[in-house]
Amino acid sequence: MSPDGAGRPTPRPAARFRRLLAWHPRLKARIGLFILLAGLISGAVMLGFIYVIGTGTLKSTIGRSFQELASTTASNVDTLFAHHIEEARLLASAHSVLSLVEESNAFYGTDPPEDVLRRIAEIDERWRNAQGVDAFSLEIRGNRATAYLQDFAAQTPDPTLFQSILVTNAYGALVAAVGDPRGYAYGETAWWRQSFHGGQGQLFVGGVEHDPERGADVLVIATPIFQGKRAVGVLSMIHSADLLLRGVTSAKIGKTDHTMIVTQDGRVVFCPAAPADRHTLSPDLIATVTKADKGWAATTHDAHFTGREALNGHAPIPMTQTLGRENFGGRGWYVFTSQNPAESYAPVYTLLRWTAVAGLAGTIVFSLLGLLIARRIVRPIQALQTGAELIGQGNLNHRIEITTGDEIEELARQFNKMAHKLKLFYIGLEENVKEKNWKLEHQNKELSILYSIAATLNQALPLKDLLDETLKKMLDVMEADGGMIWMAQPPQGSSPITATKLPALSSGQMSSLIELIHYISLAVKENSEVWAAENLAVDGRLDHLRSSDPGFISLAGIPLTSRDHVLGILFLLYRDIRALTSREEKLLGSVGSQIGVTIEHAAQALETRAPVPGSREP
Amino acid sequence: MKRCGAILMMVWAIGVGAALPDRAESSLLASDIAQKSEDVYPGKDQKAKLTFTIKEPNGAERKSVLRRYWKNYRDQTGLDFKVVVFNEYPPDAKGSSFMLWAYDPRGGKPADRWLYIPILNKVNKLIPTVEEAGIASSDLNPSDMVSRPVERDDHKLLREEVVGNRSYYVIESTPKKSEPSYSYGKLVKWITKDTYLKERIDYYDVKGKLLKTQFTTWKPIKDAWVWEKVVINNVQTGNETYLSINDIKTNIGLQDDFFSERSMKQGVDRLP
Repeated sequence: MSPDGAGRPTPRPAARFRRLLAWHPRLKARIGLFILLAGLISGAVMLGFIYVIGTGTLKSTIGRSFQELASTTASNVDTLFAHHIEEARLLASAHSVLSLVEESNAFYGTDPPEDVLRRIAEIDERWRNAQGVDAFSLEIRGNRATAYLQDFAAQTPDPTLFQSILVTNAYGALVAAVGDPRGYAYGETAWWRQSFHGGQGQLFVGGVEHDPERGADVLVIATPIFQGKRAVGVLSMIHSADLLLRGVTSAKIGKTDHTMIVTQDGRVVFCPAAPADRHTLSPDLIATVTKADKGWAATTHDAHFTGREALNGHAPIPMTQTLGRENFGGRGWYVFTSQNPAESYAPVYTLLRWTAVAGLAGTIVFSLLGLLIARRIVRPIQALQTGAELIGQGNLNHRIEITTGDEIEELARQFNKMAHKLKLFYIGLEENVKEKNWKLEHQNKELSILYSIAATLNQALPLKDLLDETLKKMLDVMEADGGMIWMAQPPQGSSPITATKLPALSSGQMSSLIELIHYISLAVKENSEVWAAENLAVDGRLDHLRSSDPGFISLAGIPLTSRDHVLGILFLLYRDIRALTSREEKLLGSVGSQIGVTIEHAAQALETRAPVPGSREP
Repeated sequence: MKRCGAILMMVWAIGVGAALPDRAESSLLASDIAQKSEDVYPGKDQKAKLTFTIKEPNGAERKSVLRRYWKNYRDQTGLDFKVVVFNEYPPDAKGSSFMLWAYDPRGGKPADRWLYIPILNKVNKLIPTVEEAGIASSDLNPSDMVSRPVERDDHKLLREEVVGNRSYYVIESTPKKSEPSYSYGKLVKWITKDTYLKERIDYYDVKGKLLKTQFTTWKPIKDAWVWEKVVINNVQTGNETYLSINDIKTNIGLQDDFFSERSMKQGVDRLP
């Protein structure tokens, strides 16, 4: 039972499928469906192709954009570092800085280095622990090198870029400073030791380190202060890592993208979107973005959008690869990009969306086009079908009018040709049948006439009765309006006209008729042939007799012959025009012979029974 | 003028180490605090290099370098100290020297002063009435560096103040009577509570208006305290004076005959 409660059995899917298979749509629907199906399949293939190729192309294009963004950013970072390094070197070579550093170094005189360092440590301890009254601090803040550095810092677009600029002497003691120096002794710091390098001096670029005293991430660029080839101090520029790197990593190609800097071991150096220490990069992403060459990749381990496929461009920062390992925290730096996949793939989604819209529109267009084409294809076929049906039903005059100019038109033309031929054949056949029927009818008529005449002639009747009966029969079978028999040798004293079957005639007509009969009888007797006149009025043979109306229009004179002797003539008279066919004339001639033979036999029999002269009749 | 300035600088530079030896007690009056700040032990003798940098408001700088020898005679035969100063820089002042013998201020005897000018090759003894003046427009006067008898001033403990992590007595010292040779109306001194070092002194003129502020960083050498770095801001002129004292040696055993006209002529290159 069906679940609908109506008691109707619900068709099972298999049954529905079989029913669907058994469905035989009409040609128009079939063609339309075929075109639609073909359109859908080709459209789906095309859309799939467009999607696959388009997606790949778009991904490649977007990926290369990110690659270029990363590469440009890496180059900018490189340029930025080069600029600030050059800046530091220029500051370090300034006379006010150099002279003050030399004075500072000279300040210790001949004091043993350990005493100098101890005193520096004492001042530093006091500086750090009690920033109270301190002439060292005041002097540093007021000396010419500090003034020079302050002027420099004030002229930079963003003075807050520098957390501080420190100038130290050969013992690491502070000589001049911009910002807020937190101590006096810097001889134990990594940047000072690396840059002073035992008096040889070398450039040092630090990594991004968190400065708990400043509560910010800083990046140190330290350059030695040279007097000749000997380092006499160090100038250190302590930058706000955020301000330093934010500008150079702020290049964007979209709304949600940003560039990040990461070390070779996966530690995020800087991210403009979130604090660096909040990032944990997956090993796969680290391996992807820390390659020696720039590139891009689709990963599912993006720093901000884990689990979703994201496009990451990456490029190494050249300077971090070429400077000594003591720089940049001992690791190479790499730039890589991160963007919300929703934005990255927006063009792909747009392509997909528009492809779907185009597919839908194409489907609709294909459907309409299919229907239109199906209609255009089916309409002549339907006309062909209708025409064929009409022709098949016998309407051979029907012509199929199709002007498609194609095979269907040719087929219709062949159908029309066939119908024409059929019609001709049918007409010929009909004529044959008619002719056969006519022949058969005439044959039957002839046979009937012959039979009737024969039957009449076979009667044992007196000659007179026989002739009357025969004339009557002839009038019947020949549908004549009147008739008479003219005898060539009538009995003595008898009229040659032995038998007559005539309608009522006027005397003039009778007279004319008799005259006509006599004239024709002589002609027939002479020729022994049937004499027929279709229209007595216009027959040239009777021009000299045409005195008055005989009462009949047509006439046929049939010789009654026996052994080539004309014994008499049987006249058939018609009030209307009656043309005898040759066949009729032959038939009548034959009948005339039969009658002539019968007349001769009757005459002979009569002669046989006649009494010998002198004998008495019983 | 520069030479004169260098000589006068030597005059006030001689008092840098003057102090008294005793240490403080726990509960003190303002005068006691003032006294203890004057009694900070400078050592038996000293030699040091003094570098003055005077910075004017327009950014111009002048620099003077002196070599100073000082010996403490306090409580000995009426003397207070002896000092001889040699000019090393600028070059036009190099070779000149100055010597001063200061007597116990409580005795009222004026100091004896000698000046040696190489070009004259002669040591002249100066008369006692030469007025005190800053060197080369600097804001350090000789009296700023010479110990002043506590009893000449009235001392008042204004407050105790903590700057950074250091605690100070803030003492106001006002002359009891007008002194022609003393040009200040009053001094406010920040004296460390633990060591009685005067780390800041605000100088007021006789009209009671702030004249200059002096910041001093002291350096301990053995059991003595000496100046190492001094910064003076003249709030009225805008001048800044930086004094760096280095190459300091104490208790080096300077003999009495060292402080003589002969030493002045010999110059610093031939001195110990």
